[in-house]
Formats: sequence, structure tokens, C-alpha cells
Amino acid sequence: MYKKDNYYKFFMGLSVIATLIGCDLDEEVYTEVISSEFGKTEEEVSALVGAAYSSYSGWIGGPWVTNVVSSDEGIVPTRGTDWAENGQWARMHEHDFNEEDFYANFSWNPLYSGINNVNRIIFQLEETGTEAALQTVKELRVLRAINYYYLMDIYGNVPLVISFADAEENPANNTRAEIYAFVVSEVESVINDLPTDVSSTYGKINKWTAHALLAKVYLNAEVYVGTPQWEKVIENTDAIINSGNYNLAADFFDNFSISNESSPENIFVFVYDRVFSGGMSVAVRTLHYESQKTYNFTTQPWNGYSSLEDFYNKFDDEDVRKQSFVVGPQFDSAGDPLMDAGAEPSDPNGQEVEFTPQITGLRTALRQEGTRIGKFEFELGGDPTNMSNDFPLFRYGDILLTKAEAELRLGNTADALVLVNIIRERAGVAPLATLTLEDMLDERGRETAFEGYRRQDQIRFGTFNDAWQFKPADPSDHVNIFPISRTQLEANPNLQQNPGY
Amino acid sequence: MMKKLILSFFLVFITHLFQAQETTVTGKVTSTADGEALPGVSIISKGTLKGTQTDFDGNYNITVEETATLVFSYIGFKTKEIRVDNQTTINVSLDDDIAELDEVVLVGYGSLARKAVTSAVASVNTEDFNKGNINTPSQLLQGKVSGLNIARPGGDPNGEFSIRLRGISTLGANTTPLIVIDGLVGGSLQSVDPNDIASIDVLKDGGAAAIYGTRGSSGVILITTKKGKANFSELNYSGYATFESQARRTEVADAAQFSSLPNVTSSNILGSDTDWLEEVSQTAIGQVHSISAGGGSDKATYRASLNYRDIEGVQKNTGFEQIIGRISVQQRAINDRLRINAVVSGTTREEQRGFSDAFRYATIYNPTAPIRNNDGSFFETGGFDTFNPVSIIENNSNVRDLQNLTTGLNLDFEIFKGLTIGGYYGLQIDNSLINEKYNKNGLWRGLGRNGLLRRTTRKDVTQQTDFTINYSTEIEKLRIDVLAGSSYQQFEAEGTLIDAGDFVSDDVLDNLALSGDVANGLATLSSFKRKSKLLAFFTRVNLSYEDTYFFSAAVRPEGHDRFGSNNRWGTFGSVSAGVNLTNVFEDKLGPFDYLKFRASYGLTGNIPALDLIAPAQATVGASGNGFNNGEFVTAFAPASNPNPDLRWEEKKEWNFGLDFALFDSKLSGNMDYYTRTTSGLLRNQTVPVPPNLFGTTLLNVGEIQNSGFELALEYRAKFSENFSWTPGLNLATFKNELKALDREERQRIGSLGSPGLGAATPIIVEPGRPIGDIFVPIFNGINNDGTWNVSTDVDEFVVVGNGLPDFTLNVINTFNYKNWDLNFLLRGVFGHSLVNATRAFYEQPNVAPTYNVLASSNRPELQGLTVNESRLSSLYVEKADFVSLDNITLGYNLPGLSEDNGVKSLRFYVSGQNLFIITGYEGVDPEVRYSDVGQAGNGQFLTQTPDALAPGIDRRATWFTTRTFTIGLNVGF
Repeated sequence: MYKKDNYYKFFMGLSVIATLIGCDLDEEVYTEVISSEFGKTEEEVSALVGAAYSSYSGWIGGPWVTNVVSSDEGIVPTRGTDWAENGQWARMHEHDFNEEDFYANFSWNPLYSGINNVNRIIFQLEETGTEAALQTVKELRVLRAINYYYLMDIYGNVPLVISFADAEENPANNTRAEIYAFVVSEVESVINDLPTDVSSTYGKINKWTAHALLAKVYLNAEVYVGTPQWEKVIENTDAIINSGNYNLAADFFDNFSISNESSPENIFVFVYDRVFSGGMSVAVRTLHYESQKTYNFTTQPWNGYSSLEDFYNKFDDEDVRKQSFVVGPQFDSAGDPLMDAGAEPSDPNGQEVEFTPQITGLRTALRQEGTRIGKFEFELGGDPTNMSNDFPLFRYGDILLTKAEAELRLGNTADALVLVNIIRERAGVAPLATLTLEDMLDERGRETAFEGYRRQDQIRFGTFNDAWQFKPADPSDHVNIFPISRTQLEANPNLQQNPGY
Repeated sequence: MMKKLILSFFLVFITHLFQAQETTVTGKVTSTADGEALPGVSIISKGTLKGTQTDFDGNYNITVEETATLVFSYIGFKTKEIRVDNQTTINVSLDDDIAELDEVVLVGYGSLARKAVTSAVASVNTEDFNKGNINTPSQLLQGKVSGLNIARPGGDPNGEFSIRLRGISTLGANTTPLIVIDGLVGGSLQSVDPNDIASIDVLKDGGAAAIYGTRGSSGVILITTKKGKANFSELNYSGYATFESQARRTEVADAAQFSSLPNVTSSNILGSDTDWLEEVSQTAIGQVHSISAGGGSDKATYRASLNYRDIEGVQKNTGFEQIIGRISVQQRAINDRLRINAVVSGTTREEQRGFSDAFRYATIYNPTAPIRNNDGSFFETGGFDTFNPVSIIENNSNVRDLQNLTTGLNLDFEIFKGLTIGGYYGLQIDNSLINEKYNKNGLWRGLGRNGLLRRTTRKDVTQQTDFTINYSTEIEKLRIDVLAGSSYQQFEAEGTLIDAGDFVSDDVLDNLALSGDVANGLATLSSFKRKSKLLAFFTRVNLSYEDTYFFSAAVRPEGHDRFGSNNRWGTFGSVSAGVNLTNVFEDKLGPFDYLKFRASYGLTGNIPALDLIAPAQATVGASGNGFNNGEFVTAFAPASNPNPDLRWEEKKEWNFGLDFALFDSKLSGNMDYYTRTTSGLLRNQTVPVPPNLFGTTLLNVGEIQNSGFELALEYRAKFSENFSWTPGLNLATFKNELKALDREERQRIGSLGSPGLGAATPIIVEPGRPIGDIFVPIFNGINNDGTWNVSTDVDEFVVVGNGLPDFTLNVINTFNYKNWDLNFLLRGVFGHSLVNATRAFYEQPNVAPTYNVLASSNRPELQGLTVNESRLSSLYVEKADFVSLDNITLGYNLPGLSEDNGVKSLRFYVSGQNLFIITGYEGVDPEVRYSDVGQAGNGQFLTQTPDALAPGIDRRATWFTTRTFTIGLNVGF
């Protein structure tokens, strides 16, 4: 060692000489900033905190796709050569999950990069130690808990990493129960210190977001840890309902419009914007190539994601929520029929584009088949990959149904019916007189279609392993959590694969 | 600096010498070996401009000063000097130059006689360069050096050549050899016109390359430009015209075949019969003119040249126009103890780059579709990934402007005999501006954006300062040469990218202020700047004992600012030795006139291109926007992980070689065996997040081993005075294995893309395998239900080929008959396979009418297929061995010319390139794809940097290969 030191001293000596003649090896960094030199001003701190929320650009391609396509509301059928992708989309639909396929990795990075951001920002804020900084830390802890809630929901047993300074290089999995306990205790420990004002916390964590998160976690407690927590669901939904901050929007679609920030139902949203905050990409995923001409989009959509006929048929014709689907003949922005020169000869509608509820097969769909996801308003002249609609993660309408379900499961059917019928009234459909668990699941399906709840709901109601269109019954319920992707297992040798994979 | 140059330039005109007493000398020049007369021997009166050549019978006559010294020189023979001393008849016999032993070879920061070289160094001089339509320096070498592979699939005149020396020995660092131009390390090939190159030396093994330390691992190519000759004035013009046409193209279904495809109905048959591939291509015509002038005195020489190239591409509306000017001045002062060497060159080039996608869509566009509608607008069918190819090339433009300015100044001062100090300063500035304009009516890219401008600028500045000390001495029979020095280099890069659409008129795409996207905040603007530095110290000792035993050792410690604080410095070096066995065993070596054995061991390094290496310290950078109190704020998030332990990639290489000459030195050559191991392979690795801040980090992760055998042979057969034949060949074998990666990781990469084959990743990367293994399911035919009998289970996939070649064999032949010369180069590359992506997507009848299909879609293997899904399988992996007649040139030198006629030399030639290629490969070009360029469909832009880990994929957007004829003329005054 001594020798080696001397050796390097020799080169250090040479480099001193070099410095004297004008050479040095000090690193000069442009375009980016060396971390240790950043975060010194209030503006820089604000920029650092902003990163905690800017990591949601991957949400649609991550948890949203995971939840929509593996449930009975969504399908990505193979259309000719398109979307074959070696059968991965089909296997996702059939719950024939394996660690090699791409869907196993959809949600991991978006969720963990958010967690990592928060860990780092908390570390930085705690270093400054100001009161404002410590307050921000509490909000960020809830934000981090949301990500762990999704990881627990999708992957079950994942590593819990909550410290930046002491993080292990290759953390091992925690159990699903440990993640559950963490989320609950984390949120409950800060909930009373969170801001309560709604308008100044749009797109950020406030007390009501925390209650909504707890309500959703408790709603699924039986799935996560085997013990139902229906009373706690009611406790937390009541806190939101009784706060008086939220109402149902008169128009259901106000929640999903381009300017949905004004909806009174928003509890927590990801703020998307075509210019400032991209990634809201539902339009590009679902619409037909030619639909570019309907909406004058800047780029061509992919003709991928559709819904299933059986799911579509759960909606009555008078249900305003049925407009969550794009269906029927399509027209360009001038009103002329949309033509698809590449339509299959076997397509009964010929080259005039018409979205039909029926789909020939999971691996043999025609280009125009399948209703499309139209719940989020399409902007004329917009960018279908970066829509400006904010994405509601927690929404008042869902909170009402969440409470209703807890009441129903506790046997308070009358209380549940009142809430369900409030939702139905807004949708323009007749009130229900009786309420079964199946009714409850269907109502949730209609109300929250394509918002990313369906998979979780089906697991909770026990239908996720059933057979449905183009999908056989699951031989085992191990598919209720996803496999951890091979990519992640290779990057971290301490990760254990989930049981059954 | 500039002033000094101009000054030096004028000095060369002040050198007029005259003589008093003159005499006429006559004589005959013959070959010592066989006594045959030698025609065309150059005879110069030393120190003057006087010169002549021998005639066909080897006779000459020259009038010179009585005290003059005559210099007789002829290629392949040793130069001889004879004093006149009042003689009037001087007959001279010239000795064969055995294996060009007196040739001087560049070895980096100096030169060495060929006989003293102890490592693997190949040299190629002007007379051996490839001829014909040669537009970049790398083309000069194609097929000339064993183990050096130079490839450019397709005939894109602006495409870059992949250069690989001894295969691939890195993953994430530079795979291309280091280019050194007149001492400037990392010189831009753009700065040199092929006509200005005097010689190229290739440092193949670690023993030779170690003097370039951290950047020597992939080999070093030293380019030396032409200089003026003392007392010899020359003025040369050379010019040629080229005609380039399609050689091989993708054969697709014509209108009739398309109309009979199973899924095609009357509504898909649109009434025209369009050969789309023909519509987007042309016979390309090019012209090249070069003028150079040089000369000077014993004290100062100069050379100035101007090269103009106007070359068209085989795709319509493509080509480039280029001017390179170069001036070099050498001067001696202070009793010849000070030597100054200055070079300035400037390049300007405008490329019409065209769109390779036009070939992609011409292959698959409906052949019954018309080019235009009745109203004159371009016909479009619409749909995913299908665009009118003529519209692509007519509506849009893709122009790149390049400028390069290079200057270098070298000073050497001899302090006393044997001790010289030197200084070098080099500056290179590269500017590039790319303007891509997309018409607002063009469906492919412009329509959705209502007109689109993409403007990319980039500026690179490299500065280099070297100091050297050389000491040479002889102690009895031992000759010692010692070199020590330092080199400091600084690299700066800056660039911007603008992507702005929404223009009222296509005529204002140059004015960004008129972009609606700019006004509305929808345009994408970004810029960057990077800077990095290298500092190296080096020393080398060469020993030579009795011209029989040779030894060389070099050490180069080198530091780079991007390496972690713990490993900033690395030390590289080499040891090599050689022995001239002919001298040791005297006459006991049978037919060998010369035999030298040499062995070398070298440790070299490698680093990624400046652009690809993140700062060693953790950084934060802009990362989208956060929403705060009703407004967006720019968010900052980590942009790189801290990396204090990052260290140099290291390559250890053994090389054993023989240089030999036998049969009266008619047969000469060399052979080498090498084995090299690169460890600490640099690679951007996925790391877990958390605990890491950022999802990838540049890490030292693995090891590659390469080995190979190389042989180069040349035979000089002289059948008569008038006829000689020089056949030569070189061959090289390649073997590599990825020994380790950080983790026992298996990766499958090289996604073929949309539609439907995004998950088809044919290249497998796994420790224990060679790089480039093609790993796919076996094609077992078609099932009875019309589906593919191709497994989707990865466990049933097998390796069916490899994208990298096993060996190359090049055959070179030169014939001389009187004033005629003929030479040709057969280039063979063997053992590699290619994934034919075009076939994988479009060689099956059921994808029509969405896409047109290949003419071969009726192949029997596919009978019964009813699904229109494409499936990657062994069916689309093809052996791609090939032999091509790369180059054949026939030349004629007009005899009987001398200075008195005003014209010293006049040569005409015709040349053909790629006249034929023999291959079983069905795609357009069986050339090796050394790295994967990735793919982007449906009008998207390619964003991937070429991936050296995924060789062997023939993507859909490949240019045709071309066949080129050239007629040319060289005149010397």
C-alpha cells in the first residue's frame, strides 16, 4: 500500500507540474449541476421538491396499463402483425404471467424512481432543517406511501427503502404485510399535520389525500393481510365527505376533460400538461391510426388498447357513462367518413372505420374492432401522447362508492344503497332497489372504468381468477400479484421472485 | 501563427540554384538480381531540380554539374547515390529492397525502420491504396490490412464506415480505432482528402498501441499527409468522373403478383403499376478534381492542394459537395537543428442526406398505387407505417453542413547530436449543422406537425499540446533511442437541438420565429455543453543490437477528469522484442532471405466517447416540471450517480509475429497471432433505484477475450522486362468471447420493432458466449391450422448464427505490362450471419394489402400460412458470407514524357467498384453490420446510438448496394 501511495504521489507530482504549465484534470460540468452545489437557494429547493411530483410521466405506461390490461375492462388484441409482440399482450390478458415478459416491468421503475426521488429530497430537506422544509417532508412521506401502496398492490413483496443515507445497495424483499403496516403507520403518523386547504394544494398532498389513501388501503386490507378493515374505510371516507370540500361534479365527464382541474371531485390528481408535464398518453394507445384525422393530432395513434364487449355491455344505453367508450363509425374533422386503406378484406365494414364492440379473437382481431377508451377528452389538434387532462388518482365519486362498499360488507345495505344511487342518479340511470356484491362491483366498473381500479376491484370481489372473454380461468391465484421482472432480479441479486413464478 | 505560415510560404520561392561546369552523363540501370534493364528509374541530381527517368531499355542521359551526385530510385529497389566525378558513363545496378526493410514506419510520437519494429504494425502507401471512387480515407484501406475490417452496408454516400481492428474488444467504449492525423490524436477523418494522404500506418497490437495509452485498445490508425519534396517541384492535377448505379435491390411483388395475393381484394388494386424502388433511385454521377503543387529547397518545402468533390447518391436528391484545402510547410533553421512543420487544412461539405426510410417504404408500398393523385398531390393510403416513398424524398429535405478547420505546428530542436526536444500544438474545430425540413403536406412527418423544422448544431473543439524529448546514441553495436514526453488534450462539445412545427407556409421553415410551436411554447429546444480533459506522460525505449536483436518498452500514465477520484490515473505500457533470425543463423535458413521473430505484450486502455460518459461526481439536471401553487416549476432531479471508483477499461494483449522474405525475396510477408483480454469493460448498467439516484451508471463490469491469426503475403513475379505480376493476399481470423459481466446476466437485445416484432430480440448477450450470437426459435414449418410452427418459449430458442465474421480473406493482384497496369481486389468475409428484418416482416403473403410483400413470399416453406402475424425464427437468419470484386482498375501511363514537353506524367485509368458479389444472402447487402443502428417506424425519429453489442441485424431501411464505374486522369507538370 505504501508503495502504491508513493506511486500515485509521483503522478500527483507530475500533475502539479502539468498544472503549472496550464493543464489540470479538474472536472468541469456543464448542462447539469454537480449535486453538492445545488439546493442552496429557495428556488433550487423548490425545483428539487418539484421532482417528487414530476416522476409521474411514467404512470400511464406503468400502473395504469398494468391494471387496465390485466382486468376485464381492457385488452390489447393482436391486429394482423400489429401488437403481436411475441404474444406478450395476449399472455397479459390471459394471466399467463412470466418474468421475461415486458408487463412484469411496467410498474416497477415508475414507482421506485418516485420513491427514490422522495427519499433523496427528504434527506436534502432534513439537512436544511427549516420548519417549512420539515413540513414538506410530511407531505412527501404520504406521496411515497402512495407509491408503496401501488407496489404492494401490484407486486406484493417488495423491498422497503425509506432512507436515502442508509439505503442498502441491493435491498431484499419485504413481505406484503410489512409494506401494508408501513403505509398505514406512515400516513397515520403525519395525517394531522397535513394542510387542509384544497385549492392551494392542487396536485399535491393534503390531509384529504391521506384519508383517501388510507381508505383505499383499508378497503383492500383483507387481500393484503387477511383481515378486513371496513370500519376504518368508513372512518376515512367520512373524514373526506364531512370536510365539505368536495362534491360530485354535475357532469360526470368534467372529471376527465382537458380542463378537469376545476372539477369539485378531485382529491389528488397527477397534473398533466401537453407542454409542461407530458406522459398522459391514453389517446395514442387506444385510437386508430386514422383517428389522427378525426382529432387533427400531431402524431398518429397506435390502434392498440380496446375494451371488451362484455364489459361494454354492462352499461345501459341511457347511462351517460357509456360515453367512456368510443364506438361506431368514425369521421375526420371535416365530417367525412374515416377511411382505412389497410382494412382487412374480411372486415364487414370495409375501409370505412367503425369501432365495433365485438372482437374476433385475442390474437386475431381486425384493425377496426373493439370499443376504444374515450373517457378522457381528446383535444382537437392535440398531442395524443401528451394530453393535458389531469389524471385523477383519488376522486370523490370513487370515495362515495368506497364507503358504500364498506357499509354493504358490514351489512348496512340501506346506507350503501343511498350512496350508490347518488352516483347512479348523476349517471342518468334508475336507482337500484337492492344491492348485492355483484351489483357493487358492476357499479364500480361503470363509474371508475379505465381509471386504474378494475384489477384491484376484481381481486377484492374474487372475480379476477374467473374466465372471461378470451381468457380461461386462472389455475391458481398466484397471478393476483405480478412476477418481478427478470431485469430487476438481475439488477438486484437479493430480490426473491414472488411465489408461483 | 497565420502570419508565420504565409512567411514560410514565400520563403520557398527564394531558392534558385544554378551551376557552372556541366557534363552529360549516360548509362544503363539494371537489376542486380537478374541483370534485367529497369525502365522508369528516377534519376535526380541531388540538391537540384534536375531529374530524368530511364527509358524502356533502362538507358538514361542527363546533363549535370561535374561535381553532382546522382540519386537513382525505383520502387522495390534500394536507392543508390553515385558521385559523377567527371565520369560520362555511369552504369548502375540496383539491389532489391528486401521486404521493404528500409521503409520507415510510424510508431506514434516517432518512427522506426521496418526492420526494428517489434510489434504488429502494417503500413499502406499511396501506390497500394484502393483506387476509383474513393471519397473518404477509410476506403483507401478497405481489404488492404489483415485484421482491419471496414464496412458500410449499402451505398449511402454520406454513410459512415464502421472500422474494426481485430474484432470487438469493448462494449461501451470506442470500438473504432483511434485516428491520429499528422500527430493530432483523435483527428477527424473529415479533415483529410484521400488524395492528400501519403501513407497510413496501422498499430494493431497492444505492444504498438500502448504509447497511445487510454485510447489504444481498439488499435491506432496513423495518417500521414503528403509533404513537399526538397528540390523537386511538382504540379499535379487529378480528376475523375463516376457513374454509380443499383447493384442489388430488394425484389418485391410487382402489381400483378400483388394483385394475386390472398388478402388483396379489388378495393386494394388501385390501377397503377409503380416500381417504387425505381422511383426513388437514380444513376448517380460524380466528379472529383484535385490540384496540388509542391516543392522547395533543402531549407524549406511546401505543398498546397485543393480537392473538390461533387458526388451524387443512388437515392434521388442525395449526395454531397465537398472542398478540402490543405497547406503544409516544412522549414529548417539554425544549421538544420530547428525543424518546423506546420499544417493547415480546411473542409467544407454540404450533404444532401436523403432518407433511408424512402427505401424502407418503397419496398412495402402498394405497387398498384399511383405516385400522385389527379390533383397533383401525392397519393397516400394512410395506415400504420406506410408512406408514399416518392413523397418522402420530394417533400422533405435533410441537409448537413460540415466545416472542419485543423491546424498543427510542430517544432523540433536538436540541442546536441542525438538529443532533440519537440513541441506540438494542434487545434481541430468541427462544426455541423443539420437542417431537416418536413413539408406540411407530407404525411410521413410534416402533416401532423403542420410543417416541421429540426435543426441540430454541434461544435467540437479539440486542442492538444505535446512536449517530447528524444535521445539517440550508439554504444558500440547497441543503438539506443529514448523518448519521453507529455500530452495534454482538451475536448469541448456544444450543441443545440430545435424541433419546431406549425408553419403557415413551407417556404418559411428557416425562420423559427414563424413557428406556431415556438409561439405557443410547444417547440422542443435543448442545448448542451461538455468538456473533458486528458493528461498523459509517456516514455519509450528502443534498443537495437547489431541490427539483430531488438527491444522496445513503453510506459504511459494517463489521467482523465471523468474518472472517479479514486482511479483517475491509469498506467499503460508495453514490452516487445524481436530477433532477426537471418542474422543469427546466417545461411542456415533454407529459402529464407529474411526471417524475424517478434513478440509483444501491451496494456492499453479505452474510454467511451466524450458524449457517453457522465461526470464522475453526482449531478442534478432538469427533469420535467413540478406543480406548485397553481403553476409549473422546473424540477431538478439526479442526472448521474456519483462514481468515485470508475476506472479505465484495460486490454492486455500478447502478439507473436514473424516477418519473412524468401525465394530471392520475391515472396515476402508476415504473420501474427494475438490474444487479448479486455477487463473492466465499461458499460452503462441498470442499477437498482433505490438506493441509487439514477437508473443507470457507467460501471466496470466485465471481460472480453479476443484472439486471431493474421497472414499477409506478397509475391513479386517478374516474367520479362515488360511484364510483372504482384499477387498478394491477406487473411485474418476472429474469435471472441464475452468472459464475464458483472452479474451472470442474460440479455436479449436488438428489437426488430413495430408492427408486431417489438418483442423479437434476436441477439443474446451472455457471459460465456461470443458477442453477436443470434438466438431465435427454430422454424418448423406451418401448422395444419395455418399458424406458425415456431415456439414462443425462450427455453426452446437456439443460437443459429453469429453476426460477426470468423475470417476475412482479401486477394490483391497487380499486373504491369509495359505502360499498362491492372490491379484488382477481391474481398471476402466469411462466417457471419444476418437477421434479415425485411424478410421477417414482409416475406409472407398475408401482410398484404397493408404492406406489399417480397417477391420471395411465395416460397414453399410458407405454403399454408393463413395468419398475418409475423414471427421471427431461424427462417430469417441467413448466412452472409460473401466475396466481392471490390475494386478493379486498369491504367495507362503515357510514355516518352519529360519536363521538356511541359508534362512530366500523364495517366489514364478506368476503375470499377463492386462489379460482382458472390453470396447466398437474400437481402440487399451481406456486409457485416458491426453495430445496430436500431429502428424507428411510422415517421418517428431514430434516437438510438449504434449498439456494438448487437451486430448482425440487417434493418429494414438499408440503402441499395451500388456498382460504380470511374474514369480518371492524372497529370503531372
